[in-house]
Amino acid sequence: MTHCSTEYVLPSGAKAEVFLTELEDQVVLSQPETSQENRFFVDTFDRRIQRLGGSLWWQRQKDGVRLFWRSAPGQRPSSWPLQDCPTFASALPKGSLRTALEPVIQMRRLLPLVEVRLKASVFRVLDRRQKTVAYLHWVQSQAVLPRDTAGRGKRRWDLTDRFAIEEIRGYSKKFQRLTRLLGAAGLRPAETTQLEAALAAAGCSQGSKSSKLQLELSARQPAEEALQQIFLHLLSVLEVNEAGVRSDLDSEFLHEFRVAVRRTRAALTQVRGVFPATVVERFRQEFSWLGKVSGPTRDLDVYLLKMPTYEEHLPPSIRADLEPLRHHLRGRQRREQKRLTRALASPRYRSIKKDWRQELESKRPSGESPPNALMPISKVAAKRIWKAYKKVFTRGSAIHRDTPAEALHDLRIDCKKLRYLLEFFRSLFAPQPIASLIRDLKKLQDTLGDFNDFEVQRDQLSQYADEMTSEGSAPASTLLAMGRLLALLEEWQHRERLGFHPRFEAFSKSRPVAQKLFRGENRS
Amino acid sequence: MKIFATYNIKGGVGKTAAAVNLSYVAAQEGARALVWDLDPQGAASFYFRIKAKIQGGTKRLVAGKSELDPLIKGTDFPGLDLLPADFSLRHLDRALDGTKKPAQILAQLLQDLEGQYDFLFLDCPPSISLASRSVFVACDALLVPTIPTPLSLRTLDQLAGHLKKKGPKRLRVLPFFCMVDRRKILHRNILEQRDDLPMPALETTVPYSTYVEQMGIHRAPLGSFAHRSAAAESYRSLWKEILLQAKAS
Ligand SMILES: Nc1ncnc2c1ncn2[C@@H]1O[C@H](COP(=O)(O)OP(=O)(O)OP(=O)(O)O)[C@@H](O)[C@H]1O
Ligand SMILES: [Mg+2]
Repeated sequence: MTHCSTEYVLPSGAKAEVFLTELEDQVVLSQPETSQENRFFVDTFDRRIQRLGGSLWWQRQKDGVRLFWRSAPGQRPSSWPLQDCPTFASALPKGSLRTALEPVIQMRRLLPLVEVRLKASVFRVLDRRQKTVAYLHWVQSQAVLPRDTAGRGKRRWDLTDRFAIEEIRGYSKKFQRLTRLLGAAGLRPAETTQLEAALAAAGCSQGSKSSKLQLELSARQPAEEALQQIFLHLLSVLEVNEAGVRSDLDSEFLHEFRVAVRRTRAALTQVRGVFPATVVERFRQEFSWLGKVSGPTRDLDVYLLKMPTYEEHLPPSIRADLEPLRHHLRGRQRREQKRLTRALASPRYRSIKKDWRQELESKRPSGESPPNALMPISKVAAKRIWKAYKKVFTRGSAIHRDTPAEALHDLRIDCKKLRYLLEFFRSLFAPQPIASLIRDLKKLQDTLGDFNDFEVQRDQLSQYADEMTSEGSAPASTLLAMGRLLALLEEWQHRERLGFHPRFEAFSKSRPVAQKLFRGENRS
Repeated sequence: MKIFATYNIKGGVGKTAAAVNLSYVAAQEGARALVWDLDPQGAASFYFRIKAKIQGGTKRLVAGKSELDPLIKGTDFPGLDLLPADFSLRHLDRALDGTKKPAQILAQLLQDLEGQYDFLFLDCPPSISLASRSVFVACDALLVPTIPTPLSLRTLDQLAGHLKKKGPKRLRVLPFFCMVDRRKILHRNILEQRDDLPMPALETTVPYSTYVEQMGIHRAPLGSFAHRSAAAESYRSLWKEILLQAKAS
């Protein structure tokens, strides 16, 4: 297909045929050449490609599909023949495309977004010699959504016709004249891309709810109301990811699901005296259960995701020896996934969701509120955050060169709680200092997180070795390779340990800012 | 970027037909191609329905005052552009004569197009002159259409002799037979003795074809209106052969 940078749309109510007839009074147009295209747009569940500003689609062709990538609106798309429509970044054609998209798509699956069916008519604009001096494109299109899991059949929407002029080198005057003629006929540059228009028509402009907390709380809101708002958001994240977790589309659904679970638990236990103790206790247990039933699958997902990195750090000659481990992990992952799917189909899970929502959407009779329920949220939040900060500062400063690893793990948990609190309540405080506090904390968390992950991975690796040995599925060469991996993990963990002190020192510098922001709030 | 010139001392032998049709084939195969119509008669420009420029463009070009870019016109075919003939090209020889390094001028001008095109085709007017000399320096290979007649062969000898004395060493010369009429004994005889040529000719021959003549009526490359014709086919295989030769060098 040819390419134009600006697309025009007719003023509302105008007819394309009428416009073309009138245009023919001014310029000579050839008979159009028409073609049809069905573009199947894909993106990740959280619209990573859309956020990047690009678009990715495929079209059927003989012996497979052709994949198209447009890096930005108005850019000329590049294309590649493929056997099949790609599902993961690893299926993208090697080279510039994969290099550009792999770090963006990461572990996410490419899911069908919307289909756009185009009928393109290309007119040649001719001069006295019958020489083509420009092309006029007329594109009629429809957005199509396939049958979906909710039982809705195929649905279509007609989109606004688009026009475009394609300039031919050396004929810029003709191009300008045509542009003027289009303007005079009332055509205006399209404000959205074809894909955006299709998504809007199909009612799916918005991507899924990101697990990113973008809450707008107000300082004087009663604590109970603010927390309900937070919990409801987390609950919706959980629900939005549920289907992807069930069908194991990609590992990120479960990850987001678990983050929502952990955040819910943290908010329940960290902010006391807002909900009745019985409610807190019940749902703390329930969300704790959800964390537990989903843990093993996530651990295996993480291991599988890390495998390529591990292999990269082993000598090439022994990389293949890890294949039985990968096989073992895959088998276990499938089993754990099944168990998880069963848990999500259980009455217990259903009533957690139902009861929790009811709890959050109902209003407690006045007079029965726990002590902090009606306090302004900013007060409650600042108090909790400062308390969490103090704990991190105290525990962190007590860690020395030969403090046992336990202390670092405890600190990691404290940091996590602090991070959740900061994120829940960031809209209540000045944006700049909060952002920089979160940044500083995040750096410390990265070090602590890696330190912990390496330890967990070491333990798991030993456990896998035991399992494989007793199953008889581990050749000696595999066990040897795993041994080398174990040593590698130990070394990496040690490196993180050494990195802790400078990191913590840097983090400690944020104390005055935190103090001013949260303790100040407390006093007033 | 490979630069070819369709060249022959003799006129009316199929130089322009070759430039137009070979560039069309190259563009159809996905390459980016440009034809520079160096002939003041403007035959190549005519075939693409593009008006020849009448201003003194060439003089300014040679004097380094303007660039090629704004003079380039897109043809009706994707990937194929044309630099139209300029009537003042008649004076190219004279214009070059006034400059310090006449032979290098064209090569320098063409350097600006590096990266924009995969193939350049210089459609030359017939003659040996200063202008030809600068073409020899600028291009990678001469494509020499040759009608299988004794007189044509003699001009090929002349060209070979001239290049031996004055031509740049790296320049490749690729003659090919065209307007071949197998019914003519003379044509057949000459083709059988092709080994006697001063340089090896390409295998492919372009047959005499009324379709080629009709290019003037359609004002378009052969492949665009008589894709299946034997002549169109011959230009496609000729191009294949030229590409192989260009790669080998
Ligand atoms: N293969 C062919 N069969 C029939 N006619 C041909 C063939 N090739 C060229 N001609 C005709 O011969 C004439 C000269 O061809 P062309 O213009 O390509 O030659 P030229 O070498 O470029 O001429 P000039 O020296 O005038 O530039 C044209 O009328 C063209 O239609
Ligand atoms: Mg000619």
